[in-house]
Formats: sequence, structure tokens, C-alpha cells
Amino acid sequence: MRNKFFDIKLLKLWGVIILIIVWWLIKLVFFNGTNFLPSPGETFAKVMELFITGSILADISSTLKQFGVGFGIAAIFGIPLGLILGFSKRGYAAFEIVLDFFRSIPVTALFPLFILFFGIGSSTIIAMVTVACFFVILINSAYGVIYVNKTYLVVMDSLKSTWFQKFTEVIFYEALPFLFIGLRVAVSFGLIVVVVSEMFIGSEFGLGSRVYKAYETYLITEVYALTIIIGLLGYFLNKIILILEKKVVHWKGNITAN
Amino acid sequence: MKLMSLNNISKSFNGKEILKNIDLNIKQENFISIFGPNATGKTTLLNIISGLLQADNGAVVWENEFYKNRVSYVFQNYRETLFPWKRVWENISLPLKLQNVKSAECKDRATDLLGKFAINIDLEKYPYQLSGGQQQLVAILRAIITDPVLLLLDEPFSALDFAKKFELQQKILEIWHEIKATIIFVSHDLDEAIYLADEVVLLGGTPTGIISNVKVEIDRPRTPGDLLSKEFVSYKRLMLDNFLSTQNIML
Repeated sequence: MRNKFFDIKLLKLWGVIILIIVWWLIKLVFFNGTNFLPSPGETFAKVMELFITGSILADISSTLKQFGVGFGIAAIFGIPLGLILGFSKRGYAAFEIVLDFFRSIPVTALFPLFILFFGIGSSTIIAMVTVACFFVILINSAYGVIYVNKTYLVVMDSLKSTWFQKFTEVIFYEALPFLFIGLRVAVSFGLIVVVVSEMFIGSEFGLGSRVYKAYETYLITEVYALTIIIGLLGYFLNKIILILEKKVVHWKGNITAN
Repeated sequence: MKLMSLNNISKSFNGKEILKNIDLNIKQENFISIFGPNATGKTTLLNIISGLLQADNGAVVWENEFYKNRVSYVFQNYRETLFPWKRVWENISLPLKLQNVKSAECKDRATDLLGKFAINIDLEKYPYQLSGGQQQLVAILRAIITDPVLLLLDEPFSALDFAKKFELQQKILEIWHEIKATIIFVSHDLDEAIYLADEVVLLGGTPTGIISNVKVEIDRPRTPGDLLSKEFVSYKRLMLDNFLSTQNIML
């Protein structure tokens, strides 16, 4: 019989426990008595304090809002455009260089231009997130269409479907797994960009500006606590997309049953 | 009554001749097996009959133009021909949906079809939740829901285990008897080809041509016991002789 401590679900917690122990040891051995690195206990107490006093909630909601709006706009435009572009070989060829160029620019390099156009405020942050997410979502959606299983299309031909039916009955579903890869990468990109932009702009609320303010006022424990909160936020956003993906793309990894 | 004929069909791929001078008359409501080794262009021939491919030379001539649009095709690999995002009933009734039949009617027609052939598959399941045999049955049902005059089956049972194969062979005979369509059944299993058919077309040679065309006059309904009858064995001997005479196989 297997020991239940090595059950796969519990194993996942082992990594977390080991990390906390290592952190604690490093604190004791290298940073004892300094405030460069607080102990895990102090840090988690700070995290709790931030939530209990509620002072962090406005920041979380502001960051989530700006991320959400930018991500949403990127998805609303990126998914259909990507699907259409993937469907038309010529369309994709015509835009390939332009797309590769724009997605090769680190979006942070566009920051000055965005400030110029959108001013110092949340519009700039949202625009940054939108651009960061838009290209990965678009390109992955296009890939999904390009790499559609050709046998499915032959079957649709034999059933005398129109091209529009091929799209709605087959290509869209075939593109879904790729589309979700795009969404997941976009979540990571978007979160990086929203936090960095908040730091640059120094907006009133937002996790990015909160971290920076804590750093400037030398509240080191709070810097660590905020970092953990940002990490958790990213983790849960990713999980949400993963759960959604499992539900929507239920056949993935399941096609060759029996 | 004639359904169609293949007149002098030839087809090359990348300069290599695959099919050469194929002449064949297909009678209505006949069960025709096409037998030949792997990679002889059997699938190519089906693709030409179905209209998915054009022949380089020769023509597919239909007795009535309207038959041309009443051809259904069951592909070899059921894993790649059923859509995993569609439930069983949605897969079976997809051809109707493509003709803009309402969803409720699609479901009714799929249910009726299952009932008609006493097939017990949960219509709400997804293809990947079914066994291989069930998946191929679903593919066959999808092909016959549009009442075809010609049903093309490309080695439909080659991926199934021995017992399942027998079961589905009986089922396809039952379906054929009921729907009164012509069936062209491609196989690389000689027993199967003879057992099912009214006529076995033997393909072989390079490029592929028709070696022989044998009428099988074993009484119907047939049962697996027929596989051991003298009559069956003599058909098999005849076809093996025909086949081996064109291959450079020394016995």
C-alpha cells in the first residue's frame, strides 16, 4: 500500500513546504538580524494584516480591473482576427512580417509613446496590457486554424459542407486548444505589464504602485508580502483559465480512448 | 439495373501511375468488395468515385446525375473522422445539420436510426467514450442517415479485434439489406471480401489494374459458418490463384 503522504495531491504541497523551510533557513543563516529578508512568519503575518485591515483590497481590485479590461479587449479583437487570418493563407502571409515585428517589440518599449497618446493614468496601463495580450492571442488563434487536422476537412468535404460550415463545425473547435494556449500566455504577459506600468506611473491604487511605494518608504516586509499576493493572483488567474480550458476542450487528451 | 460505371480510369501522383485503365460496372443494390494488398490505390479509387478526387483519364459515369449527390463515404480511421467535440447524436446527424435541418429533428432522426438497427449506444456520449467498434458504427450511421444510393466503406473494420469484426460484418449486411443501397467495400482481408459480397473485384499489379472480377453466389443470409463451406473455400482458392498469378510470389 502506498503511503498517503506520497499521494499525488499531497506531493504538490511538499514543494511549498520545502520552499518555506529553505526560505526560513536562508533567513537564519545569512540574513539574521537584517531586514533584507523577513522570516516566512513575519511575511505571512503581513499578508494577513493587509487583508484583515482591507487596505490591499482597493489595490487588488484596481490591478484586476485594468488587467481585465486590457485582456478582454485583446481577446475580443485578437480571437476573431486570428481565426480569420489563419483561415486565409494569403491574409496570413500578407501580415506575417508586420505581426512578427510588432510582437517582437517588448511592449514596455512603447511606454513613452503610450503616455504621449493616453496620458499618465489608467488608459495607458490598459493600452499596455491590451497590446501585450493582443498579439499572443491573435497569433495562437491563427496557428490553431492553420494546424487544423486535414482529415476532418476531407470528411467535411465528403459531407458537402460549405466553407462557412467547415469553420463553425470544425475549424473553430480545432483551434480551441491553441486559443487557450494564447490566453494563458496572455494572462502571464498581461500581469507583468500591468504591475510594471503601475510602478512607472505611480497610480493611486494598484499592486505595482503599492509595491513601489512600500519600497520607497523602506517597508521591506510589506514588499515581500505584496510580492506573494501578486504571485498568488497570477497563480489563480492561470488556474481559472486552465479549469475553463478543461471544461471547454473536454476532448483534449481524450481522443484515443480504447 | 446499373448504378454507375468507371470508364477507363487512370490516376497518377507526382508522375507515378497508381491506377491504370480501371473499367467497372456497378449494379444497383449490389454489394461489391474491392480486394487488394495495401498501397494499391484502393482508397484513391474510392476518392475518385466519391468525387473527392478527379481522375486524370477516364470518367465516372452515373446512370442518373442525381445519384452523384447521394454517395456516402465511411473512412478507414474512425478516430479521425468522428468529431470529438460533438455528442454521438450530433455526429450521426451532422449531414442533416449541414442541410439546415433543425436540431430537434436531427436528434429524432438519430434516435430512430439507432432503434431501426437495434444498436445500443448512448446518444449523449462523446466519441472518445465509445469502443472502437461503436465509433465505427457511429461513422456508418452518419453515412446512412441521408439515405444514400451508394455507400463507400474503406476498410472500416481493419482496426477492430477479431470478435468485433464478425459482429460488425453481420451488422453491415443487415444495414445493407434494410437500406437497399449499393455498397462498395474496400478490404485487404480476402475472407471478409468474399463473405460480404455479391462480387469481388481483385486489384493488383503495378500500376494497379483489375486482375479479376468474380461473382459470389453463396446464398444469403450468410452466417460465419459459411466461411468453412466448400463453396466458400473454392471461391477463395480461385481468387488466391488469380491474385498470386500476378504477383511474383513463389509457393
